[in-house]
Amino acid sequence: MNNIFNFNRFSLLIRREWINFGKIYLISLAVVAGVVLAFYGYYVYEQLHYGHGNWRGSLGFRPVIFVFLGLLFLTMTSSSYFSDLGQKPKAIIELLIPASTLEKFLASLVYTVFLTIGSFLLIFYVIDFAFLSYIRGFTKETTSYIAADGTAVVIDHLAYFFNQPLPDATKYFFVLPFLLNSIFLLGSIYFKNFHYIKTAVSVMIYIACWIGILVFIMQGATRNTIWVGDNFWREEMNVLRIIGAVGVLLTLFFWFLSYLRLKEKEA
Amino acid sequence: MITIQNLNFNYNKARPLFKNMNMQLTEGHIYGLLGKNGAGKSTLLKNIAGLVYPSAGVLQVLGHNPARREPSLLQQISFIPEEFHLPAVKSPTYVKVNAPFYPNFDRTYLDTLLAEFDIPIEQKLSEMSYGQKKKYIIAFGLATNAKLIIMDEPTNGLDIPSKAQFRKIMASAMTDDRCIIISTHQVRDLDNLIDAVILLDEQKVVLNASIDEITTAFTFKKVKELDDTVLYAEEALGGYQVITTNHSLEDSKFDMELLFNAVLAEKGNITSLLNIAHHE
Repeated sequence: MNNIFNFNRFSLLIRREWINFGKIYLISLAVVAGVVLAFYGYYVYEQLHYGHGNWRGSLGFRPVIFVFLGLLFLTMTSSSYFSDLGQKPKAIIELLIPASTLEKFLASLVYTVFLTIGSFLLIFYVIDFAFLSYIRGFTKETTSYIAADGTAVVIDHLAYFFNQPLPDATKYFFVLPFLLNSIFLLGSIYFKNFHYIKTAVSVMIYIACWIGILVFIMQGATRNTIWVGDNFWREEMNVLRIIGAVGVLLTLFFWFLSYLRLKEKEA
Repeated sequence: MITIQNLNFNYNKARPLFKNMNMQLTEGHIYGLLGKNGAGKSTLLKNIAGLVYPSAGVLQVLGHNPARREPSLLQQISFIPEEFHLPAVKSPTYVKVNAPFYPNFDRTYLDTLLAEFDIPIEQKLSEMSYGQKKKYIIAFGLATNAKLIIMDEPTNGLDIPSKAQFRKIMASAMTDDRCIIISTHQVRDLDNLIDAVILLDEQKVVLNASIDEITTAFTFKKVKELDDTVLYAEEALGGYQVITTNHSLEDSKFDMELLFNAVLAEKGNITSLLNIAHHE
């Protein structure tokens, strides 16, 4: 018998975990869908009744809601996944389920990464599609101009959210949900209770410390100096690339720590 | 089946719970694990199941190191904890998602046990009373047909008829390739059930002997007056409950509570007379 990974056992574990995690997940998803619907409903209603046809301004809430609600949903589900291990009566049964630590850890990623992110994107896409289709049915709002190279540019201000062009820098932040998932997953194993708050506070303290240390070091190192190197660090995209790469490494590191912590967990 | 060599364990470095503990448990027995409060009964069971990690020593269960929590070992262990949580689902759902992890799971046997324990299976598990939950988890654990059954205070929360049912079911569940360890501080609940006793005290196993060995070495009886043959005595109604050496090889009814108190009070005498491992 393969004691590291067996696909059949992994499938059984995924099915079993739905009993524990499914309820929390579905309730959270329903709340998320409700909040998204409420925002769309409010802004569309307000524009229809009191607006002056400025849909562009009214729909400006979409990226804010998408990012903040998405990250909140992701971190909350990640933070609750292993929280049962903090309670001995639950932990004993969970730790003794005949599946390997790797399978248990991968099952956590299936739920907190693939299912959570996938379902949030789907919910947001469907709601956005429904409302935007409705609005596009009776109005349109575009801006047209001729670019410097002579090509005609038409900007659709009622474009579906996922059809909008993204700034180049955005792709370097795609790692953020995965990084937060890895941190909150680790917090759900590491802490015995109040997982979300304790993880959030820990993250804030770490970030504050690192920023303080970096600012202190950089100020000390660069005071009364002039830049004589190449332009690598002056290119914004290069800095973003480095941030993205560090984000990927940190994500992998925290996932690995979560795996080790799960392996060492006692009840 | 279980080998423990020089096991050391501590929750707090200043106060070790086990110090160079040694023990060997074999299949075909129902062991009663006894000890005072805080002696480490539950912790020993958790060590055996791989739920906590020893600080030193060797622990082998069915040829595996339980600390690795390998699925091939876990599917041969059924651990019934003292405190546990059951999800808000009905029995068929619970069985559907948990039973496939145990290759020898016997659904028919589970149904028989549930009927025998009179458990209302149409009810959600989380809504059952503590006693019903306990009986459910015992029934599920036995239906896994695991080779090692570990029970931590299984009779806590059971009513009087259920305790009798429990003894009957456990006796029938015993097979030659199985090892059952039951920890309890209610020794009367294990009467006529266990065939070996393990007693923990002062960081060690102070007694590990079969009931046969014990009743061959000692006689448990009631006397009106004490004499030189008495090794240990407790006052009882109309006389004394005593343990004496069994020179004449007479049959007597094993009194676990009396033995427990005797070993704790007269460790050296009792264990040396038994001529069994008194691990130092």
